[in-house]
Amino acid sequence: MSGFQKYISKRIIFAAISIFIIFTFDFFLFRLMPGNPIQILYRSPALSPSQIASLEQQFGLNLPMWQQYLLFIKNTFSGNFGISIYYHQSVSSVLFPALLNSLILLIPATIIAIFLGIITGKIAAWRRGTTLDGAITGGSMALYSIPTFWLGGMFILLAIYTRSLPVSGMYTTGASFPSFAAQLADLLNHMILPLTTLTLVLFGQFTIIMRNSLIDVLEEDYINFAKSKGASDNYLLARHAVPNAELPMISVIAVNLGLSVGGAILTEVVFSWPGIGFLIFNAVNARDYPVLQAAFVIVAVVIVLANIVADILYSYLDPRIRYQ
Amino acid sequence: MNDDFSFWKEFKSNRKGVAGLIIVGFFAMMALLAPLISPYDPNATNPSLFLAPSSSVHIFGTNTLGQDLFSRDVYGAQISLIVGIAAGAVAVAIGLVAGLVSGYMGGLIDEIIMRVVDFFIVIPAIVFMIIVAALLGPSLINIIMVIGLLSWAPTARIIRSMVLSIREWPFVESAKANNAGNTYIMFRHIFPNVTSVLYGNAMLAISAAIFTQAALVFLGVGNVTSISWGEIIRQAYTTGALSSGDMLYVLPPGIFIFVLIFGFILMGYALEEIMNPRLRTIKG
Amino acid sequence: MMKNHRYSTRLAIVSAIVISALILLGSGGQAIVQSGGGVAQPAAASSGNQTFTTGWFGTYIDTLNPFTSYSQLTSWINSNQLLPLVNFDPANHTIQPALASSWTINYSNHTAIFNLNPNAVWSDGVNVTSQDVVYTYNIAKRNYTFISEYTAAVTNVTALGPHQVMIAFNGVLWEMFAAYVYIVPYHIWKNVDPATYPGYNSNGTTYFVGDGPFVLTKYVVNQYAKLEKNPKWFIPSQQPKISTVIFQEFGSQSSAISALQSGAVQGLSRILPANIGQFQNNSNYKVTQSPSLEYMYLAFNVDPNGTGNPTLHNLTVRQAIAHALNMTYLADTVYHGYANTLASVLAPTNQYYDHNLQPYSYNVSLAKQMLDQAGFNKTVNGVRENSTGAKLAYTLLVPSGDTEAVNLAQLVASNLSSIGVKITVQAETTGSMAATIWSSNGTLGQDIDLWDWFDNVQAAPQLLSVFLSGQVVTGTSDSGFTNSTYDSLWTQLLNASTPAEAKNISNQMQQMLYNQLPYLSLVAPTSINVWSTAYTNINSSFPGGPFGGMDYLTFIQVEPANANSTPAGSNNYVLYGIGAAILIIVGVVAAVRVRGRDK
Repeated sequence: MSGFQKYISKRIIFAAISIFIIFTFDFFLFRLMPGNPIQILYRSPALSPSQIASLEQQFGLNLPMWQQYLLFIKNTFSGNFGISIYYHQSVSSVLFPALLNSLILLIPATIIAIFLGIITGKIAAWRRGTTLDGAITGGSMALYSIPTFWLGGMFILLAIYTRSLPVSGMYTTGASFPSFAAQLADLLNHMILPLTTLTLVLFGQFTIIMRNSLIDVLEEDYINFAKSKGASDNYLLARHAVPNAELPMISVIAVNLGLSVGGAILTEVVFSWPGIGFLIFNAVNARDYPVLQAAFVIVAVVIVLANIVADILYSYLDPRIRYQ
Repeated sequence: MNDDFSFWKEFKSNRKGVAGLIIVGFFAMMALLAPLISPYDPNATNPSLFLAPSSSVHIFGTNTLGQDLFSRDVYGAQISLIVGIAAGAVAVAIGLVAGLVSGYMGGLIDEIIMRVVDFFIVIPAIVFMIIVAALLGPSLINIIMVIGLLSWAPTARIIRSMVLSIREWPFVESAKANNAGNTYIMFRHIFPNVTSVLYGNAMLAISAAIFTQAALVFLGVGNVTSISWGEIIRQAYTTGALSSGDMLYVLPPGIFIFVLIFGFILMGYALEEIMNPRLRTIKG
Repeated sequence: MMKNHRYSTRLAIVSAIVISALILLGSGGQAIVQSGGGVAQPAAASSGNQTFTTGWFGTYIDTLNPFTSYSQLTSWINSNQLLPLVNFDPANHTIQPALASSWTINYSNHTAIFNLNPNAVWSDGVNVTSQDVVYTYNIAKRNYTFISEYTAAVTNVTALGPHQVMIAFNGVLWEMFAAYVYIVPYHIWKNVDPATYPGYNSNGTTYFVGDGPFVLTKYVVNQYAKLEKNPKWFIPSQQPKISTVIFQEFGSQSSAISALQSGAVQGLSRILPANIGQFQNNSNYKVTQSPSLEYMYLAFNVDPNGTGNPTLHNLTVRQAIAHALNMTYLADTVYHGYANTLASVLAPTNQYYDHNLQPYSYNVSLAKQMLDQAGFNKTVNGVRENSTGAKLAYTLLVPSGDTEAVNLAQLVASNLSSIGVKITVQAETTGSMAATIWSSNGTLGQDIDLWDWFDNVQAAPQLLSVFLSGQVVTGTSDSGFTNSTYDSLWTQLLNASTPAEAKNISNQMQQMLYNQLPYLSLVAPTSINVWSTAYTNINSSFPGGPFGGMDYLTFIQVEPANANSTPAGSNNYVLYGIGAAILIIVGVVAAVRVRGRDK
């Protein structure tokens, strides 16, 4: 086995362990929460003890803990997340559309924020030590400090004053669109405010990351060597520093995906965007264990997988770290 | 780091650091002197002052219960600072110990700790915090612990990487040769050399904790019975004040959270710059 | 290095493709789902072609299955597309024809005969017959349904003919419950498991089959349910004037209100007092008030086996607390006056509410005097205690998601501190609250909790069953009230043979609760309704308001104010959408170009 293969298989084993830990953790976290879901969900004078028993049986809550655990591991691996206690449907039929909706918001926001972050981060690193750098760094830190839910609220206020943009949901509900273009326009229209909110918050963070990794690269010996041979700053930055700084960014961004997801949840709640964050927020109040469990697992697994992909990509593109 | 005087001199000449310190100092005074600054009892209700607009007696107006918003905004500084600093301290303390042990002991212990760190870095912390905060109940101490226990991983990782190089230094080797205990070496020899990175990290941990506390309250899983900026924003949403366009209700608490977090971040980066001069924006 | 550079250009292009693909997937997915299933719109409907969207927030559609749903929104949606045998008119407290056009009830031999409307037909063309009624009542009695209480007094249902059914019953209350049992089509339901069926068929040719004025044509989880006019609707005098109704779910009141302002929603109930001003001064909206179905209460832990502060078992202490609360001040402060005080445990609009009861008078000196007499005459740090050191200090649990409830709790705490009763308000998610209140060993664990009931069965005193013995284990009773006389009165109520007798028994039960104080009812918030003046003929007299989840007539009656007006569409915003798309593209291109320039 080559060093590269060894490295990859090691990463995959670690990822598998992480996923197993996440599964186990996930199971116990939700089972140990106080509040019987049946009790809280169906707080109704119409409920008899026999009905409660029948519901508990339906959702497998009457089994001993270890049996529930084995069942859970088995089902999760086979992609069966059970029936939602609240929605009375299979969890996957609720979860996956929500996941797609989240990605529709999260991925464009992340990509736009990365590109803008690369541009401003590059300018700041290039002009490091100047007032411009100070302004960009300060501005990025300021963007990073803005509470997501408050920024969203400010946009809602603005939209209310100007009566212009929709502030909730993904579509004008129930509208039948004359053409695909009209439908697309409607989606984009609903996306503007949440997307802007999320992008702004992520943008500051990525600018700082890019600037700092670029500066690290710019101080490296081979750059100084090229400089001593008379290469211009522009040339150095474009041909050597940026490509080399982008590599560490891949893994930094993958690691920060958890943070981005956090920002996305707050944004979704503020704008009633029917994504996974909104679903989690509702499921917490309804104590919908199966949905919460599955949502937590899916989000964590997606992040773990994104990290592996980033690791592999990184080690593939940068030979220096292959044999670590 | 070895000389307090020169450290302070460095810090004083760092514009970010000074700005951050002034901001944090301002809010610390606000929190401490809240009973003197605020013109009203922040909990006193008055049904005839339903969402009263801004006036000379109520600068920021009142909320739906007729409570003075300016007084509430002033008192709100207390919770943010208490939770921020306490949770930041918990996170840094755990991160420090984990990083020291992991980096110094190496081997299987290191491997296990690092896998746990990976786990905590990767999981979506806010989802986790929402669930755990709902599980434990929203008392002040619980919120502090939830935030602290879930945000130590980045600190651990940084400390570990420093320890990895420090443990190869000659003085550590000689301490080992003199049969000093592991705990002794870790805390007596290695710890003083990682404190530099700890300061900057602590500031960032505090800023993250302030944000998280506000976010949890906003989502309704934090403590909604005590006055905090997150709670004022949440009330603005849930009582319809936001959708009625009441700017002075939502604007000040949001700006306060933002500026306070910004202050801590500025201090954090200033400290990082002092320790790692390559990152500096303004030289000198 | 050249390779790396091309890699970053490629990354930019790939990213742009990913963004576009995702957005297309999002809108494309929607289009595909929308084209599936659905009832054909009646061609050239004489009644116009208008969509009315109403908003809902707080709770969501759980399932559209009328047997297993616990959501008020589901019940309201179903009331527009599935008919019960009879409807209840809360204004006149009478039973109105629905699926049954006539009926005779024989109280002496406990049987009733219903004649179904012979024109009744399902939206897929199949006739409604007595078989559907028999099937529905038999399913409703099963364990897993949430409406089995409504059919508990029904002993037998038999078909006498294709359009005639006979129901045998024990007591008079069942006929009131009949209004809440929606009859489902047997020919659809016989093919599914009624326990897990989501109520609609997401991937078949028949999306939904109903017999009401509207039928479901599209449901998107956590977003909306869309109902279109049923072309087979069989009551000509109740033809809807609009073609489509959309029930949209919102994450919060504020987002629903923004949607009302932007024109995306035409009607909302349960508006907050803070938002009245902006609609009242605008001629495009009409604001009205309706009596509420919801009321807020304090529940004292009087469970004999409970683990709360035992001083609450002392009736005098509870009475003193009742006299120390200024309910009018609570209503004025927390609800800006849009709430009424009440004295019983039913919503004041319930036909069984005992109007002879009056709220406890606000009398602080009387309250103090009562506590002194009860032995709590020593005050340490502002908290009363008796000679054995038992303190009047309590934890008050309140759901953190309900801001008004939290505010109420804080005011209750400050009111009670004036008589030396110390209240610590603890706001928790409803799950944590439930866990504290209903401990696993079947006893109650809290001191006091402040919560609400939504009295959605206006025709019957359903909520009185909360106070029966043995309701602690079911997680229903949060007071632990136990009284054998009360229990036997409930049995008598269920078996009462005339409405007057039932009313008399329910009054006795309410008086008992009023005197014993397991609950102290606080206030019933008024429902504030707002709708667009582009629509008329909306009636606010129904409890809960026209969009409050109860009024089955709202969408039959509502009509556009101006038949020629065109519905507001979202296409005004197309420009913004295109603008955003351009912005994305420009950003991506710029990123690539900035790099390219430096080559």
